[in-house]
Amino acid sequence: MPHPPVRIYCRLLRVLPPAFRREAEADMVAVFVAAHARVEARGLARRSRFWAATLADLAVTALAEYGAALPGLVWGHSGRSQMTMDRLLAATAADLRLAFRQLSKSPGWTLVASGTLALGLAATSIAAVLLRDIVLAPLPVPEADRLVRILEVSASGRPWWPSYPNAREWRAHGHRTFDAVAIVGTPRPLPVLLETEAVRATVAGAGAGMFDTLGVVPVVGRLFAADETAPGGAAVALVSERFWRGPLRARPLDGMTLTIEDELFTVVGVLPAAFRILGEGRRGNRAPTCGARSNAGRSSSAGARRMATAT
Amino acid sequence: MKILRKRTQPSRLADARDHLPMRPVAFAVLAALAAGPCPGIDILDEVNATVPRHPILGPGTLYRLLRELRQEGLIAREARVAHAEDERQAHHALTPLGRAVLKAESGRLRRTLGLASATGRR
Repeated sequence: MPHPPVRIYCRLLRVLPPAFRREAEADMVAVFVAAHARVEARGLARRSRFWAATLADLAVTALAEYGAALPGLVWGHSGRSQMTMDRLLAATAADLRLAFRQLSKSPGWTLVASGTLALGLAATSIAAVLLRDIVLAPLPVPEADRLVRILEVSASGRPWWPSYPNAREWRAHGHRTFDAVAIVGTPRPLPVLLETEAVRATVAGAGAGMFDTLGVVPVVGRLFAADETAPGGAAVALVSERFWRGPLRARPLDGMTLTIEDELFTVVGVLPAAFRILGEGRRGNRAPTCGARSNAGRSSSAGARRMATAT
Repeated sequence: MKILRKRTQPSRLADARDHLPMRPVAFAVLAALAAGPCPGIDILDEVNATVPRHPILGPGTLYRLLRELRQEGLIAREARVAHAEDERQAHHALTPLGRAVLKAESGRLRRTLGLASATGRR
């Protein structure tokens, strides 16, 4: 097992072109080992200077080697015009000094420029994150491209959540268009009573076949059984992995119960960490997800998986 | 044999002149090898000692330079020395051409110094 500094140096050597590495890596490591042994017992300042010089040396070598591979793109590599570490450091230091001098001459302009740059960077970062999360990132379920959300359109032409009876109707008779239709109640933050404490969690009622429609597989336990989602079925609940590992402390599920709105539920399974209930949002809600059995509230969402033959 | 040597010597001198003037750092590497073959760390120390507290070369820049000098035929790489202090390091040595270049560059620098001192006396 090599000494940690040697391991770090070997990793840093990866910035060099493979051809150069093959040729000189062993010798460079041997030189580094010998040079490092001399500064190992010295003070922090000496070791810092040694590492700064080592990094500068690698940077110069990498740039010069890649520059040699792309003549004219970096700086001239023609035998005698080779740039040494010394020259590069001096040139960089001179550039930085000049930049600071120019900026300090007009602090107002510097402030405005820095502020504009910061705002631009922040706006770009936010836009990139939103684009990634909303447009580019697929839903964390298998075959996400076959999932659609069904909404009703009111008389005034406004899209609206479907009513529970309508959604149940689609589930019963939508097999000509869809592989499956699932119903989920609107997620709501509610207090959930555990054995000794109460926590706030996002809770949603889920209809029969919802997890089959989404293709979700529990990480612990099982999904709802058919008789549990029928009217009068046992009160059972699924919890998210974060909720299970957090408030439930990852205990075995055998007989574990929790109380939601004065009703006792038996926890039968744990949903994968990536799973989110429709309408919950991917990032915004910090409360752990807790899915409870069917018995949807006033409004509900219907999600469907299109049949393979549908276009 | 004698004739052959006489014929090759002027040619080596002409070859040596093609390498002049040398970069100071390349000259320092050749000078470090004048006493005999040595490993990279010793060359690094010798060259960096020419400007105290101001390292000129690191391992990367040293091995780039050694490769250039090798390609120009001024130095050669020797097999790793079994009884050396650090067996992992290859040793480098001057070739006859490298020795001739070292000699020619030393002469050129001496003449330059002579010129500078003569100018200073005037």
